[in-house]
This record gives sequence, C-alpha cells and structure tokens, in this order.
Amino acid sequence: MKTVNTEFTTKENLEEFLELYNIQEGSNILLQIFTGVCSQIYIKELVTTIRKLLPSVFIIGATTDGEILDTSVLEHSTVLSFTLFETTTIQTYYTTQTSSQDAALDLIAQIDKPNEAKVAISFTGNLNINADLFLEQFNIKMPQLTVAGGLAGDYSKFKNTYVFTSDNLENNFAVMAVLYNPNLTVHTLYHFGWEVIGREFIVTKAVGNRVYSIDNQTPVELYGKYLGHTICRQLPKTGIEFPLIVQRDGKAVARAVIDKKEDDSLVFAGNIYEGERVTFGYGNIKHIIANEYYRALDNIPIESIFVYSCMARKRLLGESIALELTALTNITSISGFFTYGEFYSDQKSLKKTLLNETMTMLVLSENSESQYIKFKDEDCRLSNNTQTVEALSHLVSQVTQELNELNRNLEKRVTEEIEKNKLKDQQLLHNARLARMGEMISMIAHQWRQPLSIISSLGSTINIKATLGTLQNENAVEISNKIIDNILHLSTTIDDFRDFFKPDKVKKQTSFSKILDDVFNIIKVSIINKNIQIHQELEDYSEFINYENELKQVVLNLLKNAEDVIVDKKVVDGYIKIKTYANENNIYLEISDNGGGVDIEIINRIFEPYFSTKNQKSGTGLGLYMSKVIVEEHCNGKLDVYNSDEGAVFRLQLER
Amino acid sequence: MRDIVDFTKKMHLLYVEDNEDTIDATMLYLDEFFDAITVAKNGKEGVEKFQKHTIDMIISDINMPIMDGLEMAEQIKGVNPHIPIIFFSAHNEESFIQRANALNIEGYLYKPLHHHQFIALLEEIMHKMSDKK
Repeated sequence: MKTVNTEFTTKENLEEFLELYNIQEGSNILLQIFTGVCSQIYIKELVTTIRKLLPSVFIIGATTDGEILDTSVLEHSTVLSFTLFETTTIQTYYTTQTSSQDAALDLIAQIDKPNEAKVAISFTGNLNINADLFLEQFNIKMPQLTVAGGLAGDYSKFKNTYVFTSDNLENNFAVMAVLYNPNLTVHTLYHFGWEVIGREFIVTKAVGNRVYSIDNQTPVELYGKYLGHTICRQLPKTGIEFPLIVQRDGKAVARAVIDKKEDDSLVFAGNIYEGERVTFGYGNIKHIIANEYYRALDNIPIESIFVYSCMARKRLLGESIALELTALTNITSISGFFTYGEFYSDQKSLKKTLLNETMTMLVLSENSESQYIKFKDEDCRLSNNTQTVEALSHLVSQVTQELNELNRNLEKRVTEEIEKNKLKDQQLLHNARLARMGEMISMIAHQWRQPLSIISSLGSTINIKATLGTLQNENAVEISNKIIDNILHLSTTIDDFRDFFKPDKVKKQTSFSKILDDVFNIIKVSIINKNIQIHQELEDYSEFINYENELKQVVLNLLKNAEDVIVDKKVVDGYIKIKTYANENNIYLEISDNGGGVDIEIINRIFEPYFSTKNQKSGTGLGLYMSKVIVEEHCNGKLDVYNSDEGAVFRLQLER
Repeated sequence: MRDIVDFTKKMHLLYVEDNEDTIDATMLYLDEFFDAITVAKNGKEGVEKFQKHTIDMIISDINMPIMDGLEMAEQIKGVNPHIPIIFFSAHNEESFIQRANALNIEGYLYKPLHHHQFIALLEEIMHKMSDKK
C-alpha cells in the first residue's frame, strides 16, 4: 500500500497528479478529503469532479479547522489523500441519524463483515454530538475495531461542519470508512503535552457534556474570572485553547468547549461529570513539540500515516506546528486535518475514547516487510525558535508550582496551628479540672477540720484520763460514742461530695431550695469561716424537672465567685444574698454580693472561655463559661449578669 | 505528768473558741488539767472575760467572728505581757501564725489536737513560770 497527498487546485492539476503517481480507476483506493471550504456547493462540485476521473473511488471527507499536508499547515484549502491498498477491502458508510448513540448504532449495523473489520476512520459533522456516547457504542459492539478520525471543523465558527461520502453529501451526522483486512498492521499514537495550570475546581452541576456550574458559578463566569474577559467574550472559540483537564484513570483528559449557551452554561466535546475535579489546561510548547514520543514508532512497519490533530495545537503553535511532523515526513507523505476532537483507540486495549487538544496518528502497513525506521536524536530535539515561548511557559508552570507549594504549606500551617490550639484547649480544660478538684479538696478540708479536731480531742481525753487513772467506764462509753458520731459525719461528707460531682444522666424533680440546701451543705462552712453573711429571700419553692447536679455545680460556682470577690476586695461586712421568685413562665434564682460589681468594660466578656479577672493561679477562666454552657445548652435556661448598687447580680432563669 | 497536772490544776484557764462542738469535745480534755475554765466564743468576749476574772492562762482559736484571736491577744498582752497564751488553730492559718510571732506568744497547737505536743507545751510554760519565781 501507499499514500500520496496533494492540494486540490484545478481538475487539470489533479489529472497530472493522478498520472504521475499512476492512480487509476478500478484500483482499491480510499480518498480522504480534508477541506477548509465549508460550503456544500463547493463540496458537491469537488466530489463530482473527482468521480468523473475516478468513478469507483471510496471517498470520506470532512470540513476542517486547517489542513495538514506533510510539514505544511494549510488554511481554507482542500487536501486530497489517496491511499492505494493491495490486499485490503474498503467500504464507506454514512448516517443521517440525529443522536450520537443512534448514529453510532446505524454505522455499526452497516458493517458487513464485523470479524474482518480492522480499522474505521470516522468523521462526525454535527456540532451537537456527544462523542463519548458515540464512541461508547463502538466499545460495546466492536471492541476489536480500531477507530480513528475526529470531529469536523469550520474555522472556529462553530456553526456548520460537514462530513460526506461519495454516496451522500448532505445531512450526515457521521461518515466512516472501514478497512477489512485481518493482516493489516495498525499502530495508534497520541500526543498531549497540555499542562494543568492554577487550582482545581469542582464541577457542581453537569448533565452529559453540558456543564451548568463549576465551584457554584457558571462556567462562563469561571472562564472570565480566571482567564480574563477577552478570552471569555470569545467563547466558545477560545475554550479549545484553554480546555478543562480531568484526571481519569491516572490519565489527563482534556475537554474542549464547543458551544456557549444563553444561560452561560458551556457545552464540551465530551462528557464531564458532576463532582469531577477540573483544572484549566494550557499548551506547554516544550512538551507539545518534544518529539520523544516518535520513539513509539521505532522499528515498526510504516506505509501510511494519517494525522488528526486538535485545532488548538494549530492556534498555539502557529508555524511551529510543522515541527511536530518534520521527522515523520522523511518516512512517508503525511496528511490530515485539525479537528474539534480526536477519536483515539488505545494501542493495547483498543478502548476508544474522545480526546481533545491532542495530536493523534493512525499508522498503517499491509506489508510487515515494509520500511522500518530508527529515529535520530536530532529528530527529537527542540528547535531554537521556540525558546522564548518555552521560557515563558516554564515561568508560568514554575510559578504555579511554587504557589501550589505555598498553598500546601499554608494549609499545613493552619492544620498545625489548629492542632496546637486543640492541645492548648485540652491543657486548659485539664487545668480547669485540676482547679475544680483543688477547690473540692479545700471544701472537704473545711468540712473535716472540726470533726477531726473533735475526734483528736476526745482521743486525747481518754489518753490523759487513763494516764491519771481517772478513766471510768461511763466516761469511756460516752467519749467513744462521740468519736463514732464524728466519724459518721466525716463519712456522710464524703458521700455528699461524691454525689454532688456525679454527672446527671437523666433529669429529675428538684427545686431551687433543695439545690441550695445541698450546695450549702458543702460550702457554708467555708463562707461562714470567712465571716461572710448569707441572706436568703426565698419566695418561690416550686418544683421543676431538670439536671439537678449540673445546676448545683452552677450555683456552687456562683457562690464561690461571690465569696472570692468579697475576700479579694477585703469587703467589710461582706454578704451574699440569695433570692428566688417566679412569674408566669419562668422561675428565677438570683445570687448577688456586695463586692462592688463587674467592671462595665468587661461585663460582656465574663462568660467567654478563658476570660478571667482572677490571678493566673486561682482562675482558669472557665467557671462562668461552663456555667453558661450548662444552663443554656443543657438545662434550657438562661444565665446573665448585671450590676446592682452594691455588687454583681447573677440571675439564673429556668422554665417552670 | 503528775507535776504538770498539779501545776495546771491551780490555774484559771480562759478558753476561746467559736465552734460549739469543738468546745464540747475539748472541754472534756481540758477538764483533766484545769479545775477552773472560762469559755468565750470570740475575741471580744475573751477580752471581756479576761477583764472580769483573774485569768492565769489562755488557749484560743485564731479565726473567729467579730474579733479574731490575734487582736484579742494583742489587747490582753497590752494589759498583761506575761500571761501565757497558746493558739489552737488549723494548719492552713500559718499567715496568722507569722503575725502571732510578733506578739511573743508562748506556743501554737495545730488542730487536730496532738496530746503529746500539748503536754510538752504545758511543761515548757511550767518551767518558764517557776524560773521567774
């Protein structure tokens, strides 16, 4: 087999060309037409002219976004690619179905010998195509078939693209040439080279290949925000140069914009799924034209090479596009076109996928003895004239990388700080717990001091009486009874404390007077010892259902604070006043002192955690905070503070 | 031991303490040493009873309402610098004890009562008083 290519100018020139390469009617010829003239009239005339010269030639054609002829990139021209086969049978098919899935099924149904079908070159001409859906049918029905080709173009107008065969020139959704030859050697190759830039976004709403929102903004807003309004205004055209890149199965897949809708949603050449993470892609010239990938073609038989390359590469590379192809033109004449999307079949699995932004190649040989090539190093080397762009490209990618690094460090720092604060919080809670234990022990000490003193005196009495010989039986019984009484008192005190600090599991019936009795049981001695008076004005004795022990702790905390302030400020005739009263809905307990009140500047802050007016040793700053949390979050009540003429008033409000 | 009791039996003790239960229990003990004991419930009452009776020795709590033991001791020592005064108070009132040092106090007993400490203190006071004689 061999492929020869030419640019169509006139019928006469074509005749000369056919003669020169000895292309005759009756041979097994596939003609691929890549035309930059997006006119149905032109296409009709062109095909008619050719069929006069070669009536039985198999034609498939597509309009383009640029034509490839060896190392030249042509525009608005027509490239004819003749492939003369020896042992391969050719058939062409078209479909006028209007949905991606139906079109694919229609084409597949026409394949007459599915077992012998080796390669399909397909072009699609409907801009509403969902190419993922289209190719999926081939994956299901024809897993052994290699599919190449791509989406026709119209020079970035996105209005009308056409595909055609010799049998039908109009209204085609897709066309396809199938090569029947089990012994055909087929190689596929794709080159991407686009790089991700900037941060990741999450697709927040998408249906099929239409994306409605990304990071909860419209895709048009996103493009405008990150790529600027010039790029944004020119959508969908510019959306091919800046595709969205999705990572799927560890492979970067680009999705180019093919349409912009009224509602600022964008249509992409292939599916993008909700929840997928996408990044903007940009062409890194160095990667695009680093021709290392030619190595994949080392030592394989090559007779024909067809190139289907994304139009974005042409836009980005301009004249340099030829660099991608130079080394290959030494092997054979090359032809192809710039597409709106490329069909690629994996070399090994033959899984067919839609690619964007890539250059795909279909390499064929009928004869395994045909020429082999070993690429030279200079074939793969970067030429000088792209160094500036390369440098800028490098700058962008380096800066992006550094920013990402900074970002990651920042996130790490934030996480570390949060951890540190957590530790600090734990430490403070721990300190608060220790402080409360300290308070408790000090209260127990107050409670125990007298009984212990009494027991000791009674023991000493027995001792002295025995020593002096004055101990009588009735003395011994009387004194030992007193000792036992006091020991029982100690034991009761311990029980009181244990119950007091036991957390409540369920609410129970209680009242403010009961709570006050229990609290005074353990704190009264300490208050009285400091010569502080306690005034009680209890008007309400009603019962309610709530967490009794938690409320006791709140009351204890408020009494302790009142005691502390009176002692700290050395108030003469210090007193703590306790009032209960009620209205229709609520009952109230007020605890006030004559310690001078809370400084007006901090009165709003005293319930904040870690806020303390006491010195570092005695105050944890958690007492009032925890009291407020207990009352307002557990007990469904309110705890607030205001100043009276004499001092602070803490008011605890509960529902009846 | 006998000597001490013989020494103390002749004395009139002023015992100052605000807690009733402690008074009850301690009196049982002190009765073995002293035949004459006057009880006062706070410093002010202590000063009054000191003036009213002929007191030979004072045992007093420190922390009490109305007038504490230190102020009482100050006033009494002002009248009679040689009268033996023993403070009988809790351990945690050491800050008071520092102030007590300045008053030339005979000694302190920590609550709860330590029988042997008390005997030792009485013995010390006995020797001091017989030296003076």
